Amino acid sequence: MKKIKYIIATLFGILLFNITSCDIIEGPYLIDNNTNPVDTNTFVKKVLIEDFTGHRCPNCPAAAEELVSLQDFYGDRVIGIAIHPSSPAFSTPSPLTASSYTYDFRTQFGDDIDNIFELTTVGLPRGMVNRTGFDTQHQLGKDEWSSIVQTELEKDPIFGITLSSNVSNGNGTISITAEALTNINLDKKEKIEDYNIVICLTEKNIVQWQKDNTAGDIEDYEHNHVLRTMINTTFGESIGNSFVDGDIWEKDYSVDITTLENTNENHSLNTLFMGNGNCKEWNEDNMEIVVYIYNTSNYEIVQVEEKHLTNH
Amino acid sequence: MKKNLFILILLSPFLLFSQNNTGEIHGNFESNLQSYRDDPTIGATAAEEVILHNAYLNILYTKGNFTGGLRFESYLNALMDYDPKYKGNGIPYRFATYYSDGLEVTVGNYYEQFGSGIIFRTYEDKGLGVDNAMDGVRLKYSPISGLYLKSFIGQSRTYFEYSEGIVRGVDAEFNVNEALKIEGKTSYILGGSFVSRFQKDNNPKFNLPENVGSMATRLNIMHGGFSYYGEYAHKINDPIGSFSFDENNYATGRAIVNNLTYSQKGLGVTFESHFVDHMEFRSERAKEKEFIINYIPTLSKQHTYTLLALYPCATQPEGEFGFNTNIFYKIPKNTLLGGKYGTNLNLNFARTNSIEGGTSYLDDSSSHTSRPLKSIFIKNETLYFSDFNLEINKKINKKVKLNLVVAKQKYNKDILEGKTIGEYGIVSSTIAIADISYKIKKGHTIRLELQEMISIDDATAENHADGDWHMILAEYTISPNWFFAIQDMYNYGNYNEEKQLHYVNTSVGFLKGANRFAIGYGKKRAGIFCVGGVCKEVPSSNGFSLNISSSF
Repeated sequence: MKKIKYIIATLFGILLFNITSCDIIEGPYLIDNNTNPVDTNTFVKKVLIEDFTGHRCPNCPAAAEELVSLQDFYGDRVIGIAIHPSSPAFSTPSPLTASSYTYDFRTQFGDDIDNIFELTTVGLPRGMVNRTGFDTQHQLGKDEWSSIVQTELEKDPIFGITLSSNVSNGNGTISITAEALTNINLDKKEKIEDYNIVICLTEKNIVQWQKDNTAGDIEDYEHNHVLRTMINTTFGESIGNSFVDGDIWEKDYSVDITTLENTNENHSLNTLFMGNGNCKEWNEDNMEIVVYIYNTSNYEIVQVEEKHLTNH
Repeated sequence: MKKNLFILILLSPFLLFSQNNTGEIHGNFESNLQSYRDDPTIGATAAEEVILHNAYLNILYTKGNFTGGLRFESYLNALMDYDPKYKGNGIPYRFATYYSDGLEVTVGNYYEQFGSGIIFRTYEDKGLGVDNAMDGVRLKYSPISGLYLKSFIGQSRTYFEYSEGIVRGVDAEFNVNEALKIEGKTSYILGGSFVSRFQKDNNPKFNLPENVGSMATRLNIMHGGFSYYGEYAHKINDPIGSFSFDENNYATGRAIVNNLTYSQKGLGVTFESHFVDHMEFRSERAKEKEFIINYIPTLSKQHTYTLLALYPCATQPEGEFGFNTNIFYKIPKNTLLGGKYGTNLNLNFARTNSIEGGTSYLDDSSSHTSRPLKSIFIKNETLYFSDFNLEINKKINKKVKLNLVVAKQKYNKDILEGKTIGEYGIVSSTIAIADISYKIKKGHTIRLELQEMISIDDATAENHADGDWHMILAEYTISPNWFFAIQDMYNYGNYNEEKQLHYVNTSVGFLKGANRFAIGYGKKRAGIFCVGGVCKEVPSSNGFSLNISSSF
């Protein structure tokens, strides 16, 4: 009889444990479909998602959708860049004579980034959110993005970036201002991190082929945020290492779309595996300037800003 | 620093007791080195490092009721068929255990399994590159005879990281006959387990559960030659935490397992079946397959012959129904078919397919619950895998042994390898194996394997699979010290003529005492490697390998 008591007590204990440590959620599961509007007069922390993708990668459209969902929710506080790194299986274009997948989305810049962060080695789609967690926790599956986006957005911004552009008909200037929003590294004597600024151009609404794991081969898939070029090299240039609240860094960059297109064409034809040079026909009206500042000691992006290239 | 201190404490018994010769230390070491060079014909690429190397050393110290141990792992850099996240050196596994009056306490790392593993199993398999050891505390206690309790709390390992999710669990097993001192023909064992994972919810868009529970009950009845094992598992809502509308699945996961075996002299029958629906349980909600902490065994025969295992079955924890039947029969000796030594037969039939209506799904706008009973009557369900095979094992005389296998397999390459539906479809193959070993003289044995696969591609699929294969293997063993082997796999039936290639491998091994050395050279094809339904993709390679293992 004593044994039975033991057993009942044990089973009862387990039952109690069960009930207390389960969160069964009743619908509605969606609790909020939009954050509150952001006060655009002051600088807010923004976050960059670099989505590593490929036109022959069947699981990649789902990652692009996750990026759209995050942007729908957080508005312009989430900025995306779609990087098509060299991957034999996922991004190699077909020869020009083929009927599909002839566009070459790859760039030297995307490959330079992938060489450091090695996202293709763990398989696509993967992404980085503000490049946090380098070098063991930065290669994120799409479902891991949201949690890090939320954590990043809760941080205070340390820089504010202002962009203006007077580019039209393929030529013009981009003006960039970075303002320190707090004192940075003033008391540090050693191991002072540099901050680098990087200027990218991306393009949306590129209609080309895309493989999809449910829809198969999609002829008229809309590729968005596609990385086209980086104006001041892949890893940018220094804006300094210590700042007083309110310090300002400014610089103008001239842009010539044809030259930039030709650089990519040369790279595709002369360097890339099966490169066919079919990477031009940029539409400046669909292009965005994306500028970010990162900490060179850990690559972490501390601020990012986006502006349309031709809507002055 | 904290880590070092811990290791020091672990090692202290070695230092303290090494003088007076009490306690025992055991260990084993393994080193795998491989060189890689470019071979565009098979798609193999050279390693930038030229050679890659994995090594492990296990040390175990036992004294009375105390056991302590650690494992040093080195990946400089990891072999190509390993995830590159295995990188560098470390002691990712260390533990201390003691046992006292029915209570066993373990701190540090441990592997654990509840029931058949459906809601929780952590294990390591070097071949697969799987190691999801827990790090934390585990207690085992038997308050009275027949009642066995286990509980644990910890974080699970993936590569060199530990999960953000904290996993807790309890398990009780009750051996009725042992506890109530019933002696009889029939014995009963009951069990129940519960596992819960905590992970913070910082998703502002969807309401996510922070504590995800999974529970299972099991029953084992044995009566004479019969044995029945049944388990039912239930996992509460466990959405991945995505922002996309249709990616968060709030449905309950379920699994039903029924296994029946019967054995008597010369005859054995096993029937295993399971229904699994949305049962993938990971140590963090948004992570991928490498973070799985439960295990659903495959329902297919584990083949060792290369061509039989070319298209292996991978378990689909998100939804599959299947069964696996084996009949073992020994034709008695001194009969017409049995001959002088008797003949062993093994007939095996396994099949898995999708579940009725697909994986259960629940969100704000739609819901579907798969019905297990409907899955039994396979109607519109997709075939994942089937294997019908017969193995005949016969000793002809004192010198010659023979093993013959014929098999018919169907393999849904799209589903089992995660391809786009319609890319390869279902590959149907017929395989025949003859394995003959001949003892030349004392200590000298030659073994020959002849394998043939005729494979038919899915006519409706976009792409062709690899087609037909020959394989031949010759192995010469001089026991107890040497073995030599050469094998050739020839993909003569590949649809693409450029890929009608030979994959030749040679190896030489030397064994002496507790040490084993093996050198190999050859080409390996890209393929799928599975252990118990858990699979990984292996890239093609061309190069030398050197394996050393030893123990003390």
